[in-house]
Amino acid sequence: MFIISKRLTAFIALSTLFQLGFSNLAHADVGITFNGFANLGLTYSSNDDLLFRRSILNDGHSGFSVKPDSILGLQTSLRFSKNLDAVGQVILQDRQSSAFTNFLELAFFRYQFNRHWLVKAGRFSTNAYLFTDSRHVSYSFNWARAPIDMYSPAGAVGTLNGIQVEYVTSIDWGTLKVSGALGETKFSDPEVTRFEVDYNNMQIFSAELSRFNWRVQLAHVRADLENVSFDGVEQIKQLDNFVPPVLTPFINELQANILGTGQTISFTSIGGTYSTGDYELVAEHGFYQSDWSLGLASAFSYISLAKTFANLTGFITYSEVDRRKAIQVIDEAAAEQALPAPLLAQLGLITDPLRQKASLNSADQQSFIAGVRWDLAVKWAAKIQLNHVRVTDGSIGLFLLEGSGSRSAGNHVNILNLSLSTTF
Amino acid sequence: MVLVVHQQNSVSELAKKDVIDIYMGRYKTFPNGEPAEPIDFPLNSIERATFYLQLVGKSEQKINAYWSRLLFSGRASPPQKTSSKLEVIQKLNRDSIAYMHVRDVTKEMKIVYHL
Repeated sequence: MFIISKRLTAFIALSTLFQLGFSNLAHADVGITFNGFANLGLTYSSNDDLLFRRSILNDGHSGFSVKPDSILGLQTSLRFSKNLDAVGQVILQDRQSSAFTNFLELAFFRYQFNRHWLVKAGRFSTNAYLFTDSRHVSYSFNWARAPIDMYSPAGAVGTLNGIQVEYVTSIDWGTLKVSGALGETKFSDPEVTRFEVDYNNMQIFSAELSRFNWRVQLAHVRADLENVSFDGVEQIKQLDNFVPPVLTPFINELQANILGTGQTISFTSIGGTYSTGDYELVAEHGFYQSDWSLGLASAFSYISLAKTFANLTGFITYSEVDRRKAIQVIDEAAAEQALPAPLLAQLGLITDPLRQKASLNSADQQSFIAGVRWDLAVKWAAKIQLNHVRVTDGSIGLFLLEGSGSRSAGNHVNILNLSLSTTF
Repeated sequence: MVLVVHQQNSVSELAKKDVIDIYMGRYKTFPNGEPAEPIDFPLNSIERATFYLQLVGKSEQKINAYWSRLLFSGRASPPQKTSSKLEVIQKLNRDSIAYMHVRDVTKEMKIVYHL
């Protein structure tokens, strides 16, 4: 019933936008444009166990490969009237899963009521971070890719399906843009990790202040976790039927922590860019709040400084993701106090593999990045970039663990990228 | 350089901030709420490079990168492309705005801002 009502609401919203838009239709206002962006990248990643990927939705690679950083984006913009337009965008990249929703980035209708107010309905960016909505467009920034410590996890909630209201106004020293959105999204990898989770009742608020040489953005996202699914999830749901009653409270705690039952997650971020003369400074900090064991609270940060010399721009960046809570699937201290050794051992047989799974899902790493962008022709840029990544013990960071699951190649990864990016 | 609109356009004057708002994709309308359709000189032209350097102090390559972010985030579309000064003049209609050298202003145009 709830699903039907949500679809009905979406249908009514889209119908209203169409009626409003076409009531103002004039032939001269109608138009369609096609655009695209591309990045051809050759990447070398040094660690054979920790496979490099630019997003947690992507496949991982070590050694030389063109797959991690090669991207093709295709966009269509349709204009129906002076007030109504639509945008669709698909991005071809090295996703783990071939589900179409992992390639569809934008698909929304937009109605502009007046100079200040507009509404969007469909699939669009959550704008959780400064570059969430352009993180795939390599040509738009100096890096070969937006810092993975911040933007790789953004892949899980980079877009949502819903409705957004936006207000823009001029103030004495700049422009203020405020938006609020409601919707839902899904992290889906049904083919490889078989990990899926719904983020429902998403509520997003963002405010952006900008002037020609600086931009500051504040964003807050919250969502309810539902329908967490992965290999073995049914066994976890039924665990309490197969353990002695004395273990039931601990198993129930474990089920709640792993399945995320009734959990709410939130992101809060602040970021800004400032340019003066040939220098450009970009910095962001985001905080992800969650008690869900498979996605524990973390802080994401980076700071980057760039200097332009004619057509060359050199940059250095430090970025990190910092796990803020210890990995815990049950209250171990309480279990040690309450249970005799044999039962504690029995409980450990159940919890240890799940703690390991939680550990693999929890990122903690630091990156040192240096590179050069060369604007070699109109709308063409070549880049060279080196990332040195240090992964904290017990974590695989934002990498993908090689199939055998063994770890003998250490906790450091060097990633060298040569790429060519363009727009058309 | 000056910013011009068609004589039929009701706008008679703009502030620098209004020009930035329109050419940097922050607003799709003039301050009075009427649609604003900015027109650009060709890529790599001296007029385009000079205009953006004077308007926001950014090189053409920075402007191209800026617009790629706005375009592919679905936020806004860049100013209309042209292939020559003549096309800029031909494209100027009631809703549009263009920049050009003051010597190229015709009697069909109205100057709304001196850069």
